[in-house]
Amino acid sequence: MDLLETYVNLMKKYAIKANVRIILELNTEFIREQGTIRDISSLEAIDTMSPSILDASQVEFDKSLELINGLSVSLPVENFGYFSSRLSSADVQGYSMDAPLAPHLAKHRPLVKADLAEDLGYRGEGIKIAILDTGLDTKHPDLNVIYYANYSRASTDEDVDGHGTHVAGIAAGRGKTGKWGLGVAPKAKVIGIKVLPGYDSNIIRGMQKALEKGARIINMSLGGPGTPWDPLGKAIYNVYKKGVISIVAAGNSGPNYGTIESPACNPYAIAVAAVNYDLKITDYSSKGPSVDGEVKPDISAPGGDGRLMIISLRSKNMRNRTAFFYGDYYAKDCGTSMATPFVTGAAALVLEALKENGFSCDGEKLSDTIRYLLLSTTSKISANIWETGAGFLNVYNAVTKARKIDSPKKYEHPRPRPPIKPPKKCYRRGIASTDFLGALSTILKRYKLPSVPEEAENVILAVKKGAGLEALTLFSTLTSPYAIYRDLLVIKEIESKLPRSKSIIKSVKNAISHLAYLSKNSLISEGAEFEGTMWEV
Amino acid sequence: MSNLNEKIDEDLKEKILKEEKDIPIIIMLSELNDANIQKLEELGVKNLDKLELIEGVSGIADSNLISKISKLDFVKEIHLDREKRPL
Repeated sequence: MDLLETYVNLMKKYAIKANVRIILELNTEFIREQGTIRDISSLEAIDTMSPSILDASQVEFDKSLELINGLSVSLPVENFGYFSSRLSSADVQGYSMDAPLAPHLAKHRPLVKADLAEDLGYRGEGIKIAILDTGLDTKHPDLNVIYYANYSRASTDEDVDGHGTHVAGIAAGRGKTGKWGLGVAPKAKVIGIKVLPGYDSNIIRGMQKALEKGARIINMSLGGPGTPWDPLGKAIYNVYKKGVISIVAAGNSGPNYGTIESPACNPYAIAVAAVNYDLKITDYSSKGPSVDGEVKPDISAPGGDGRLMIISLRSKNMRNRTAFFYGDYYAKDCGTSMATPFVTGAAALVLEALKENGFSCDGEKLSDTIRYLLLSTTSKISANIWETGAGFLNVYNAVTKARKIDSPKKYEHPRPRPPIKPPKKCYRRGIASTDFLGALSTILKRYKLPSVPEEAENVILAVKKGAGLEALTLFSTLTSPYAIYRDLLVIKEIESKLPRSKSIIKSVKNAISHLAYLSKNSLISEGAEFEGTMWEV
Repeated sequence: MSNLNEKIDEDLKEKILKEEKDIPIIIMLSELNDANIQKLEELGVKNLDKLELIEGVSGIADSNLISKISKLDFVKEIHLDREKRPL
């Protein structure tokens, strides 16, 4: 079910009177009859296609969209079924919800100069990339999966979350279904290892398997609490010593400083921050310093935000977050998870360029050199070192330098004074509240959202009337930051675990409100921790 | 539980002090071999799995047992096995 259907069904189910904005894509034949799309600039003009339907459906004209030969219109939700069922295929090619845009991969590749690197002939040919995540859709036409295993705590091998497939598409999408599915290293081979849902031990086991299968780069778009040298941190260093580099999401616990998650906090992980389509650091992206006071993140790349998410590959087994679907092959998402595979793909191209150059070294020196090539060639953006590390990924600069390098090199960040005292632990930030609307309001305030779209207001109303996760998912799609979705999932989890006794509920609510205060002030963050504390009160 | 030693990480110490049961842990060993794994099994560590990459094992243990195994010579460190999530 796509976004439009989800929205219309939800509004109908909860009897909410709302308008829906849709984009009609007109047939060129119809436009030719009318003159040009510019001539179809009012309802009077489109009235010619089926006046009675437009009248009956109370359709209102918004604007003409010349670029796509389309029109933006709005109509009451309750009339949508009648309107869509009577649209003539001779006039209208298709329609979709007029929702926030999500640029596809082909729009992001030029941002990191991957298209220029491709012009030089670099596409990651034969380089093995391991994606340690929620799994992969191994049959997706855009992925060249050469090995797949499940080391997670889930019994199903499938990528039901869809996160892993989306991440893999950014790193190594082949573009066989079109430019929307073209990643940074389309000729790379993908080793898919499902480690989520899971713990550090699941991930370490996955890393071991990736090593055995010949992976040269390990992508970990995951995070949580931990310390730089805990077992997962040690595993990152152990593979680094063998010439295998780990590219890790910095965390979605921003905007405060000192919010780098684990395992990105390990000094040998390349921690990736997320910038939006305007090349501004996102609110959610975790910031340094790390627990040990070191500079983190190491680099930044496009991660999208709630207004402009990134379209990449969709797992056909994806069962949740239906509102994130973009047709059969694609889905949209945002987070430092999405920024990470841009760097992973870039590392594959760097390895390909080093190979072509005849550069020969291995082990830790090879890892040092790849890190050096990625971090010493970045573009500057308007963000400080604790937000973006060495800067914004520039794949073209990295491969150009890799073609000429003749000896191993090591990159050292400058060491400015940290903006805050380093935190004691790596946290994951969350919001705790038993009241959905209270939580929503906190989140909206926290992210200083300039406005809430009309559709989002309607979804909030649906939440008030008892709609569940579906409404919350839709809410996150229609409003903004990625964090809303994840935070609300945590809230939902907590709610589902509340005991029924009134006195217990009261004490739990008190505990949660206290924890919400701590969370708001960045004194506590991690979901599992506040669940644990909650039960003891 | 008074003599929790340096081998145990801080988050795990908190759980031990609360006398929690079935705690997921990672044990770093001086040597990953069958004899050491068997010893841990005999003491009652459940769901033992080798982690070759870090010369360790993962498993499940109660607070009392964690204190006990931390005293073994071949046990270098014991950490809480922490959950991670997609970002």
